[in-house]
Amino acid sequence: MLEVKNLNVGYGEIRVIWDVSLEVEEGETVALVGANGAGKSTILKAVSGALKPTSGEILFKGESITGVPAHKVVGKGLAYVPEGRRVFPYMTVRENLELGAYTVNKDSEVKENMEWIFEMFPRLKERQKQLAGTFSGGEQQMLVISRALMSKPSFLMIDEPSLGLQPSIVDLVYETITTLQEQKITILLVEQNVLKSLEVSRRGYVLDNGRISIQGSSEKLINNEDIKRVYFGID
Amino acid sequence: MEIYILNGLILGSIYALIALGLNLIWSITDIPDFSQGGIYVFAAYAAFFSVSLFNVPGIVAILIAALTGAILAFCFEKFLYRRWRGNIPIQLLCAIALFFLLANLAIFFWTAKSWNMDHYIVGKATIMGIGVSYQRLLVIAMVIVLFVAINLFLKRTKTGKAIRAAAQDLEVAPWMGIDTDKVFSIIFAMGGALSGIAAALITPVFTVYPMMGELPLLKALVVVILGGFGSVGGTLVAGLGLGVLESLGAGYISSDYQHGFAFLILMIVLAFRPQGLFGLRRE
Repeated sequence: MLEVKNLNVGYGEIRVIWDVSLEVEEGETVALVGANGAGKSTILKAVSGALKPTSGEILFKGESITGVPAHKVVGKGLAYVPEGRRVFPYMTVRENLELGAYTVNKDSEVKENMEWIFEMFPRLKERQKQLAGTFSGGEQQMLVISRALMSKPSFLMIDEPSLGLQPSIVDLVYETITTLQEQKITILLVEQNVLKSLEVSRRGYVLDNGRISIQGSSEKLINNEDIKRVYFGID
Repeated sequence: MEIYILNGLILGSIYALIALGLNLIWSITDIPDFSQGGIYVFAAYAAFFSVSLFNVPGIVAILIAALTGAILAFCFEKFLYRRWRGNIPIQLLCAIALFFLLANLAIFFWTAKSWNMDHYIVGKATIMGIGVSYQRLLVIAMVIVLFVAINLFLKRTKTGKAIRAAAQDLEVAPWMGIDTDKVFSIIFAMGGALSGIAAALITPVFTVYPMMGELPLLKALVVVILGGFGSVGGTLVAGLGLGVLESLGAGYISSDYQHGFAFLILMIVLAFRPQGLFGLRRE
């Protein structure tokens, strides 16, 4: 589904991502984990077209999307959930969802997708006329994920969905991710919450200062001594 | 008293119209687009010449002014502001430079002389005992129609929603599939058209001259801040309110201070409600 080859990304003179290669196969959930500032979000921004890579190649469904601007990438079946629960705060829940389907041209299809979302998250249906800015953190996270789903993507990139949420809400967000997996959506999950994200994924990559340091099946990574020491604080 | 209020409403609706375009542009691009003051001047001359030289009907003159404004603003964004995107100080400098450049070009082309222009519709109505020219009533009627139309456009249409989304989070909008370059082009063209229409509507009431854009521009900037970023209704209320207060102040206190009132009100509102009267909060 997604293939990133020897990706290098920088902001001006400062190189942030060094020769990163990763792959996500159809139907699987892959976790990209690492400390704050490791460059995880930068990779997602480059894939989604918000940042132009310095070099390297990004293939989506075999087609190169390297350097294609964000608004053109979305229509290809790839959707991005930015970190920080970035809802459109002064628009209603319904309008937020409609914007998620901006690339969908048929009204009937938009309606269909919205019904599908409302079925998965009845809470959004009940509160569709409420302004998104008045939602709680957990609800906003549910909304931004749903907004991304409105384009019926086959591939979803989720950036730090649990950041800044209290533990009980984090569990709720992860239930949402499980729901998406049941819908056969391929997911690339970026997280600081290493344990949580490895638990729901099949494989994982550990990003360290802009470079992939360890990769493998999530099961293996959870039991890896280095990861345990660095990320779980267990000796 | 009634006459001051009426005059204030007419003046205020012009401020509101320019402010609406400024507000759209300002809330999305962070540029307080001073060049709209110059665009206003060129659009006024466009309306003036189309009527005085070619004798076109009023509605055509208004459309020509709208088109003039739209094309100028569209080009300024596409060929100038776009190169400096993200660099607000430079963009602001460009906007101020364009404002003076256009006013000076107007002097160069058409001299500093001020011209009178015929009313689009002749005749008078009597409202509450005062005679009001149809031209003045046309100003208020057109402004109300335009505000309703633009509000519906922003609330109901797909493009309108994309514009609001871009105003609320410009970084996230492209991830929805929204082409923000296109949004920029649309709002600048819209803003230019609104300034152009405002100029075409008010010119027959007053006169046309090269520096005519200065005060309406400054007042409109005040109206944007008073009404609040992103608020269409707030812009209308603030525009009309400012016009009426100014007119009352000029009538009952002294017309010497007419323009001072606008900025005094701005200072007072900013001190107590920094987000404007109806504004969305801004980070």
